[in-house]
Amino acid sequence: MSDSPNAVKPIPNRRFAIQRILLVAFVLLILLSAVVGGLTLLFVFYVPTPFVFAYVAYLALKIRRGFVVQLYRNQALGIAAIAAYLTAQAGISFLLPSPANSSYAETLAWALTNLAGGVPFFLWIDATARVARKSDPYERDSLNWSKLRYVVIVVAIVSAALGLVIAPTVVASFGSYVPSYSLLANIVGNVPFAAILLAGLAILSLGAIRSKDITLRRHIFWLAVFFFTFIITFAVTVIYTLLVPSASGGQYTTFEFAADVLLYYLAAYCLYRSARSLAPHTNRL
Amino acid sequence: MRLASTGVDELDRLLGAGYPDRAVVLVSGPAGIGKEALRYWFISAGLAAGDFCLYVTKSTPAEVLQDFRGFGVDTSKVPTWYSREGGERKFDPNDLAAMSFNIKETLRSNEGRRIRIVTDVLSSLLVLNPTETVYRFLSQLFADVKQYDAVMLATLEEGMHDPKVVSTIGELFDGVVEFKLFEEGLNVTPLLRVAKMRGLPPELGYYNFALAKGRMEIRTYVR
Repeated sequence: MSDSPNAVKPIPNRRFAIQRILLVAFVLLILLSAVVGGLTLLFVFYVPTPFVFAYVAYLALKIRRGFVVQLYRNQALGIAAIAAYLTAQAGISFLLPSPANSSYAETLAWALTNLAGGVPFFLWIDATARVARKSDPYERDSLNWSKLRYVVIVVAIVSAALGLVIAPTVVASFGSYVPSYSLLANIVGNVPFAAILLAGLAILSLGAIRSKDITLRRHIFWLAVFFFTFIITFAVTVIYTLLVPSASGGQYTTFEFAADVLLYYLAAYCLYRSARSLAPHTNRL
Repeated sequence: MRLASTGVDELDRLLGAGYPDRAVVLVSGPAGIGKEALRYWFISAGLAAGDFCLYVTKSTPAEVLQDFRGFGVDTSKVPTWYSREGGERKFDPNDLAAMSFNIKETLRSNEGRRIRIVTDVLSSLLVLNPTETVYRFLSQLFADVKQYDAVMLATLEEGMHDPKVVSTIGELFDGVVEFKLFEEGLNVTPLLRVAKMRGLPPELGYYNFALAKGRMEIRTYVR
């Protein structure tokens, strides 16, 4: 499909250029800390991550207040929900650094943060798919999302519910965290979650191409980078675990910790940029 | 000068008593800020006053009426639809000649009546056609509209196009109402401004607004 005759490249923004330079410097600093200071120094970087996500959630809610139309309010709420979910996940990871030998309540908290991720992501994907449809000149229903969304809702709810049933059952049976729970929870929780993300990526990529709305495209671009950050970190961690046998022994290695810290900061930056690109807004009148 | 009520009492007061007669008015702003409310209330006021009302939309009449109800606008009377499907005439964003012909036909057949035309298709036209083509098309269309006792209101999505395109197209209109999301410290506030309106001096001040079911509140914005 040819691009719009009026399509323009976004004007480079100096403020964001400085942010990007700072981000790269920060990433290098984290990597250097991992090499020089190991886990202890990395921990210092890890502590602020829940607060960074909390700020992104706040920013999205702040922009949401400017919208009148429910659909756009839902889109902003979706970003806020994703940021809130990551705040909880980073916070729980901070409070409960390892699931090994966890109590019932701790395992439940782990299960909640691992399995409830589909809900905020679905909220955002659903609202953004409908925004993309609205801004498409032909109002096309990309990949029949108006019907497909019900299947995705069922998948998200069933996977989260199953995971929440499995987690306490396993803990009740074994008295603590066991590797089989980890495997089962990963399959039950992460496979449908990944399916939701991939369906969302496909629908929103198509929606962005069809809509030709530069604001929407920018918003989706940053969310796509956010998703890829997760996928790449996950892939690198899996490869590392396979290559270094001692890494799968339940110990949290410096490499895994550094990957997590990096992931959180990069994800927070992408979420921040996507929240800012929900709608054009100005600080000058 | 005869004025056409906007359907919003407080906006009417700002403009004297409404939009000027034989005028084309642009409402621009970010998506989701509530520009469509001005379309719905303008049509609703026209239907209540017994004017002939034409709604040109890329959506279907059912979808637009659902939105009307969402904003608390009365749907007991409906306008004539020129829409993607389900309307009296079929709208195709790629066929500017047919659109021009159909609107002119409608104007001609309702000559002698007060006419209100409302449209949400401007952004679609701009993404599917070169700016020059749309500019020429609108210039001709607006000249035709002004030959009749008609007022036309169009909305444009601000973040969807290059600001230069929005500015160029804005020059064609007799009146421009701007909506903005203003980031002020810890808040993002929706504001509106009457950037220009035929018969009125340029307005520099911004107004706070809030939409509630069936009404719009406008207050002078004070930092």
